Amino acid sequence: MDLINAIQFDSWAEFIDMGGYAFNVWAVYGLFALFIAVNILVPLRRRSALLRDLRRRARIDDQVALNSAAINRESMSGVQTAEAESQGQSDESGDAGDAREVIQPASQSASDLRRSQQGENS
Amino acid sequence: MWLWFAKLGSPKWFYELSSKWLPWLVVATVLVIGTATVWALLFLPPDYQQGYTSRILVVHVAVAGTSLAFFPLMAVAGTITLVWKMKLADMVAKNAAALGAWFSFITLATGSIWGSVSWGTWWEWSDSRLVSMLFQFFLLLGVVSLRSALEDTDKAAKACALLSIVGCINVVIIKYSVEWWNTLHQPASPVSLQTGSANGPEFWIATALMILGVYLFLSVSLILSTRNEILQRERRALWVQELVAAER
Repeated sequence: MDLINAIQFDSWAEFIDMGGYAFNVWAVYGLFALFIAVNILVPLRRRSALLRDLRRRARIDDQVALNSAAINRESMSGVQTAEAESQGQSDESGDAGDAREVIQPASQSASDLRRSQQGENS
Repeated sequence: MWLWFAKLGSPKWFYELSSKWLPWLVVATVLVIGTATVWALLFLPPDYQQGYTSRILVVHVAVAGTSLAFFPLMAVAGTITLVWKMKLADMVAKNAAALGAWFSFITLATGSIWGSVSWGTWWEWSDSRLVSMLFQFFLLLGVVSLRSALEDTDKAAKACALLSIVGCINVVIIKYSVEWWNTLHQPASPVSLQTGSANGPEFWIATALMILGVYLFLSVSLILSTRNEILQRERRALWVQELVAAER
């Protein structure tokens, strides 16, 4: 009860009015609230954006690793069939060439990724 | 003796420790700022001269006093960067500059709003306190833009560290401006035990609580942005990649 008696205002209207200085008092407290909210929410939003980006990069890295592993297997088998075919016919170079073309886009995307990361650093 | 120092400089160690501390810091910040705000808005008796505008000073004094901590903080972090090349110190310094600019701006804005009633003017160019605080705001913006202007991270860290150390001179000027030059801005009121006066216990206990709350908020905000900086700069480190994978 003492606590309620210690409140300086008898009504809501009086509280809002702040003895005639409503604009000044509430502007300062509003600004203070905004200042706190911005400096907490901006880092939080940046964090979720950063984590999303890191997750995307990790997925791309995984995909690149998977692709190149698959391509390695493919080209290995390609070489084997080529070798097998070369014993029969001699225009076998197409297979190995195809495999090399598949490798190129994958390694290109990896270097693009690296370049974009460097771009963000600077 | 040097082990804790080396550990402290490790971003990974800081990240893990701050993960544990952050929830408690947030709870403390909400409690302290909440209590101080309710106290200031509801219970603070009107000052016999300033009326209810003295409520403004609880916020203004707390933010202004805390804003003076940024240059010393950045100077200490800068010295650690220059002498020991500690990565973490530079990450803290980088984010402190931007937050410090915010603090200076809010100090100027709340002071202006208070001055418009109490002094009858929003701004006074001849007042040393006002102008030196404005100078701190520009200096901090200068540190932020210096950082973004220099592409080389190491060079930027060194330049900002030097500017932060030099900038501490201005903090001394702000602090003593009201005593060296007799101008509009009043010196800090001495703490009084007499209730009902403008500097009585109701006022300074609320203000002291608000100062504590603002410092807690500063640490929460700075820790949050430093953690982002760690994730960004250490993203190729194994522990960050594992952390990202774990949160997937």
